[in-house]
Amino acid sequence: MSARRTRRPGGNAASGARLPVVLWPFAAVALLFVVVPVLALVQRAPWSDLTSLVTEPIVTDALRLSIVSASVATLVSLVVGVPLAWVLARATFTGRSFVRALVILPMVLPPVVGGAALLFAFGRRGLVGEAVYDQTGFVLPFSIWGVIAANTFVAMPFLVVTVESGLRSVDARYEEAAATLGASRWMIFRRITLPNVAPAIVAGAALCWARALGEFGATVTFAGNLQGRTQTMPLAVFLALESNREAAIALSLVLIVVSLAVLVPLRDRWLR
Amino acid sequence: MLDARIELVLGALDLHVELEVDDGEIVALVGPNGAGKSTIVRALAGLGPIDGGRIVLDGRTLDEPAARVYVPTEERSVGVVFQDHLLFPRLSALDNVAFGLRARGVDRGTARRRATVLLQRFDLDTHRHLRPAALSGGQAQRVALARALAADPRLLLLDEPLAALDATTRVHVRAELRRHLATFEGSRVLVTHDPIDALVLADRLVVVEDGRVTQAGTAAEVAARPATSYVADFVGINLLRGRLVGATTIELDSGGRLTVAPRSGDDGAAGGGDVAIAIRPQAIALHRDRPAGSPRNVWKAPVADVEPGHDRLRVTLAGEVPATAEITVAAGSNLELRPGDEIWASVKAVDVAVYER
Repeated sequence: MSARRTRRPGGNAASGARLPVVLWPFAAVALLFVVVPVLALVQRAPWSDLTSLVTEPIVTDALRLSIVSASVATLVSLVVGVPLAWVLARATFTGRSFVRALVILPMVLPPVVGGAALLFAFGRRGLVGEAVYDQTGFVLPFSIWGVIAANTFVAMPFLVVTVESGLRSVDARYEEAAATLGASRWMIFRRITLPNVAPAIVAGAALCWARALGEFGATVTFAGNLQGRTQTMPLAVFLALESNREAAIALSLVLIVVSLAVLVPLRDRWLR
Repeated sequence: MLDARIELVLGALDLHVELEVDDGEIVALVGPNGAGKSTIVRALAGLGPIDGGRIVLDGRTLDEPAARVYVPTEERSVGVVFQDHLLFPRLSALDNVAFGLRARGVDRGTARRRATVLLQRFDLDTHRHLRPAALSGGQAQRVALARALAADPRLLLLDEPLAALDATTRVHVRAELRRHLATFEGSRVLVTHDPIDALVLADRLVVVEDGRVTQAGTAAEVAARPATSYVADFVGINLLRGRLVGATTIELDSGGRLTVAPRSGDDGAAGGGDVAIAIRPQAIALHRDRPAGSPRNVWKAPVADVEPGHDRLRVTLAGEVPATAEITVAAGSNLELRPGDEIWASVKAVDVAVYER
């Protein structure tokens, strides 16, 4: 073999991958498009005041609320979203393709529209909300429950879509084998199906959580912007941009660090 | 005992089959690809619906669309050994075997103990904590069989149980499978497209072609009067009897000697036992002059008959190794074969399949 042939294009000697050279510049543009804004943010960061800025109540309140509401929204999505994904992947019923489209609607809908729709459904005078209020006096909007509802509405499709495609890609014949061994449908779901789609569930939950953490439009419309009650990180950032630019940057950095702390460990292992 | 009449239409397949299997009987369901063999297995296991007919196992109706009877898979006493085994990849061999007992409500300790006993019977004791990925093809096949038998099914279905194995492992595993199948008392249905599997393992053949049973009977009955060209090819395999006189040498009852490939492990045929051997007609090569080179078995044989097939010639050889060879028409015209000619025949050791008898 000649020296020319052993040189690996793209210089990726470790993996030995042979990538077409022409792809590299395009990949670099895509990466820069993500990296440059983040760097710009970091470059404008008020490093000297950072500690005092991020320990202010407006920041800690918003961070706590964001993490709690995103986590609860993810839990809710797991409890009802995984069964929904299972139905979409395995059951056959008329109108299934319509339901599948409906499920991803919140992914393409402007979140503000989603928030308005939530108000008409669960607001004090809403389709469902009015009856609930008359019976129990409970009001969903403009509370932490409203934040969680808005987060769930917008983020759950990410979990459902990921788990549904996971279910479609696992070999359903293992479930048949379990049935021939006398396993009930519930046991098959628990012992065979769930472990088989565990990677997709983890991936879907991570995407769902990340989407909920960044949720803005539906939250501000449905839950408002009350510090300590419904003001999440994105809302606090938006507000601070008007009044206190340095605080806004500090908040943004915190959000970036928290997001990366969750996504980096998951990315290679689960989000393939 | 299984008594089934299966009618169903699935895509291009129009299936209309009757199947009876006695207790302790092994029936081989044979037929070309797409004939409906696997569909029958799925219907018997309750994994696919039937349009008409009736499936009765030990007097209990499992499926009868006309009477709106359908017993779901998990409530049927039917064990299945799948072609690629489908062992649960995250469970150890032991937990795979214990799965069916756990599913039927046996507590964990008892299930594990009974699974351990079963694995001992299948000589898998030392492998019980391994996951399926760490098992060899033959071991995985035994685990799959042990798993299917663990909950004591009344009907055992084996869908191409040897197809996933390579040729050398197959010979060994086939002999093992035969021994283990003999210990099971229920009805057994074996799906295969391999004549040797069917002839070695089954009491009776049921030939399915294009959704219909074209012939049924013992191997001898079917071989004596093949009903279709598929059956003729299927049973046209050479079966000879003999005795193992060394690790790899067989003395045929007809007088000749054949060398066979060394086998891994014990398949019960070692040490002077009576054996049967099978040679596919296509595996026998014919030559005008004594061939040089690799084939381990070369003998001189008188040609008894030459019979044209549709694109091949079937040449019947007499002498110490009575067998039929199948060669291409082109090869045949080069050889200018006539009954009464003397010719050289050869077969590779690996093409001689051996099993105990």
